[in-house]
Amino acid sequence: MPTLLIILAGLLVVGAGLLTVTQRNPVRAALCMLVALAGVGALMLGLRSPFLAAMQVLLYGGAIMVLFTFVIMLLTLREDEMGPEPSDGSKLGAAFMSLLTLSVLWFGISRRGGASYEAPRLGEEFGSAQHFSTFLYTDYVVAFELVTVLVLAAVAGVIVLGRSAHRTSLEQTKIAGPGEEAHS
Amino acid sequence: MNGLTTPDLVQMVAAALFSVGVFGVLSRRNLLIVLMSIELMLNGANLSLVGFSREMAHLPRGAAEGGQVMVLMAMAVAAAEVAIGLSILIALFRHVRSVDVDAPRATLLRN
Amino acid sequence: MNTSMIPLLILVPFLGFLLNAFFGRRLGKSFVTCVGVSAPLIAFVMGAALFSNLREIDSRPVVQLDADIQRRVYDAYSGELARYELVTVHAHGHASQRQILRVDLPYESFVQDALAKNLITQAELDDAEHAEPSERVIVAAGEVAPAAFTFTLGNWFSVGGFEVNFAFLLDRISILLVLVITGIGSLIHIYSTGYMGDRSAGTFARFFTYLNLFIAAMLVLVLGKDLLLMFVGWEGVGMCSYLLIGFDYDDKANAACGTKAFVVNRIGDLGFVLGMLCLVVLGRQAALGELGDGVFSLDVDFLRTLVDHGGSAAAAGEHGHGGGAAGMIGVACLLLFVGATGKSAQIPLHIWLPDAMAGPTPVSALIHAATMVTAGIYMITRLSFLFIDAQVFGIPVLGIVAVIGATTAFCAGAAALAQDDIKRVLAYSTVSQLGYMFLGVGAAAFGASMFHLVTHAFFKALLFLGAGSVIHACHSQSMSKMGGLKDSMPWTFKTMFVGAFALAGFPLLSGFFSKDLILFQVLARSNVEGASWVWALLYGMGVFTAALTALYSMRLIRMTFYGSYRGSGHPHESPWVMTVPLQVLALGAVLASLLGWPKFFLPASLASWADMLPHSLHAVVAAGPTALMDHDYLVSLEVTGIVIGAVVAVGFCALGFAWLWSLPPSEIAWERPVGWMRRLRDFLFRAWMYDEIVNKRGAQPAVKQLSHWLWRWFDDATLDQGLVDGMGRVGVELSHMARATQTGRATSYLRMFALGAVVLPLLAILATPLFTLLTAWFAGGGTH
Repeated sequence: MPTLLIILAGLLVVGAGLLTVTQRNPVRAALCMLVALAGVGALMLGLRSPFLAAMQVLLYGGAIMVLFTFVIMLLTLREDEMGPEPSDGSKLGAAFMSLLTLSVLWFGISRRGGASYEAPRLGEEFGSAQHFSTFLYTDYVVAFELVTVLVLAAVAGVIVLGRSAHRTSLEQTKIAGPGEEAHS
Repeated sequence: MNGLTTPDLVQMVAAALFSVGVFGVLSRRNLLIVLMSIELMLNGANLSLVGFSREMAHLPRGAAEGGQVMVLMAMAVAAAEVAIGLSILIALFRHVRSVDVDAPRATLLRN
Repeated sequence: MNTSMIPLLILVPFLGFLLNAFFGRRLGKSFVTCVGVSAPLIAFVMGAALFSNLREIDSRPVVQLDADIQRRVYDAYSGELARYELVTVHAHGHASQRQILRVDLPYESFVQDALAKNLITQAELDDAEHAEPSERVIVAAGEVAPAAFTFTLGNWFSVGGFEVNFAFLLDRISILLVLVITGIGSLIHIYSTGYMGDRSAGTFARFFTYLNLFIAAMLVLVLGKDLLLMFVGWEGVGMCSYLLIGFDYDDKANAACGTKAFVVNRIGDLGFVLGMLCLVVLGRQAALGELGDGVFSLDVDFLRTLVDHGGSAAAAGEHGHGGGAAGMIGVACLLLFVGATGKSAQIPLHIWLPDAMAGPTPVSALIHAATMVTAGIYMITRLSFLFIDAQVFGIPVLGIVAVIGATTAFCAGAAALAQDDIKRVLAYSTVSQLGYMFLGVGAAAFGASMFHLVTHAFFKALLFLGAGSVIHACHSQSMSKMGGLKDSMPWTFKTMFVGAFALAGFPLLSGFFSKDLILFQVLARSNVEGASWVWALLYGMGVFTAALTALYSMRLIRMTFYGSYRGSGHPHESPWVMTVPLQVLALGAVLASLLGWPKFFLPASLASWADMLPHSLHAVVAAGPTALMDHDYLVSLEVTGIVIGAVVAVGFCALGFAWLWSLPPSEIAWERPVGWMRRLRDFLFRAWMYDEIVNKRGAQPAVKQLSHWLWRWFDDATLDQGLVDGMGRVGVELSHMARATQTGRATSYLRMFALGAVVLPLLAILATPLFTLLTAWFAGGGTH
């Protein structure tokens, strides 16, 4: 992958990311994030990971973005419901922290040397769905199964959160004490 | 490019994306944007992993693939996290009528 | 011989202690008697068995070989089994330093091995075994070296190269003490069953519990190879002494006496601990430096190498290091001697012993006359190699020991003259005799001191037990309430009579030879170059004290057994369990002298008996400057000393008889003195007013001031307000600060999280360069 393309994609990703975190309007922010995620997917494609690039588009660009936009539409936030604009001080502090993070990472990256991209062992096969899945379902099958359990737990969590939020509000519920019959 | 190689460049893009995410998490009070920022941070980490995986692509079996599998796992976890995070957000919004993280009534972590 | 018998020797009385402590009260007096008496008896039998084996090794032949054969043997065994040593060899009555090759193998196995390896031929061996002792270098196959058993039970602890083992050493010094402790201890245990017989079962059991524990602790003290293990026993006997002095704690005065003994002993023990600390510091230096292997301890063997190393370093030249080490050894020895003055009741820490008489009389006999109080002398003898050349500011430490010993002997002897309480007479007498022993130790006559220790154990235990028998009969300790007991208590009288004469140093009794051996060594010392007038003065004090000893012994006998009975009731002879030990001890007080008859006193056929006990210790203890003096001159001095001693003892015993028996008892009791006599009596009765001076002028006001200061500044201000309250205040302040971070706002938590996420990798990145930078800086600073 030519260096120039990486630079372009990188600029796109970082710029879109910056727009995401600075937009006031959540819909715009979500759209900017979509661009950033797509850029990351493009970079992944360039890094010989076509399967992951596909997953990036499907999972992030599809599922997660849909979730975000769905929630935004569901809430239809008014201006006062989004909270006040962050103060300049907190913005400055955040910028300092993020720059600090960046410099630490930058330091770490610049200190390692001699990294280069060589031709993959499997040529075009590398990163393909077939190659990827042989590893996923052999060496990493346990981790894979555990992730399914995690997702299952997330599903259960979402159901519980949704139900409790709907049925019982903290102010309205009167909990029946022991020995007391609940009249309903 | 000041002696920077292509792999380093990829890593720096990842680092920059991560830092942007950090900036968003720290500066914004809108929980939706905060969640998006966290997604950006995760994407930065993912990109970094893919880059390292590419660097090791010429090595014998199993060296590079770990990174790619790791990225898939991270995506699955991110999906679960977003689902949970957004449902918490909805629950919070129903409760306090705001998505402000620092909203006066939203400080349920206190005490 | 199985050396594992050594810890068993300690275990037996300790088991007795446990049995009596846990079951004594419930199972009754007969059980306690059986256990309590059999424990030291069994230990004594075991000690005797060990002793016989020790002798067996002693009597193996010494082989003398040519220098080139020695070289062959040394090369063959070099490093581990063979080494050259300097020893003091006594041949034809001359003592001289000779280099020997010591091989750490039993003789038979050495010969077999050497023949097998062609180190030596059969013909050479035959020649060597039949050859006349020559002046040439000697090969001794483990024989010239002192016979000793060591047994290591295991490691106690090891901290940074400092290793302390449960190691026991049974050599000729310790076996002597073991036999005294268990032998005389057994007799006193038997006696105690009679003396304490009328007490309740619980009290009876408690008494034997303490006594057995004491025997065990004393054996630990004596057998401990490591100074720290010795200190365990040292503290153990101190505790038993405290418990037994205050045995009848219903009377507050008794408990106070126990406390006094305890507190005074703590002062001495502090010296002991500091002395050990000095040796640890020294050992560490040596182990990290020239000694090399980084492992150091307070083991006797290690200390010996330490001294050799320090000595050789000092001899090597004006290398400041060796001189520092020698000075440190001097300080350590002085501090250890402070410990000895505490335990052995020497000036200035002697004040507890007369008050220790508050305990039951068998306790006084066992602990405060025969065994525990001699621990200081034992310790110095055990470490004689350390003390022998130790100097502090150019003054030899042993000289200080001798001066303290002689002063104590004299002062306590004078004080004994004026006492009325029979046990206090004996207590001051004990202090005085211990002073003699320290005088002997100070003159580097370690063998003579140990000899006096043994004979003193016999006759002083005898006198105490006799006094106990008298007290048992009269129900009073005051001699002015006694008198005329000669006929009503015949066995007590006869045995105590022997004991008193032995104490007085009457010729041919045990006290005579041992005391005069010490005095002769002091006299010989005054003929050696350097500070001879001091030694002459010390000799004079010793002779004068011998006269005092004769006087107060006679006074004791006169007051107790002659004249008419002045007390109440009808005294009668004690039961046989009490008189039989007295008879055995009386026999011992006579026969113990056989352990050290001087050579010129014996016919040539019995020459091997001469100076048996002191001689047997020669190889174990360090040799003093007198060892190299001309033999004939020494003999002449010895004859002079003996004659002077005999004249003084006989003369003053006779004088005592003539004078004391002409006076009415009331005058001997100093009841009606007038003028300066009265003042002298008061002065001596109060033991030179030492207690009063210490309490009014010295210790008490100072301690009061100190404790007040400690209370106000240290306890109240520093500890209570500074540390305890301060700790709380710091906690409160810190939690106030920590509470500020606990906002409950998600954003602030996020910030902290981000900070941590940055700081941790930052640290990981910076750690290595920072570390290199710092070490480089420190290394740079070191070289500048």
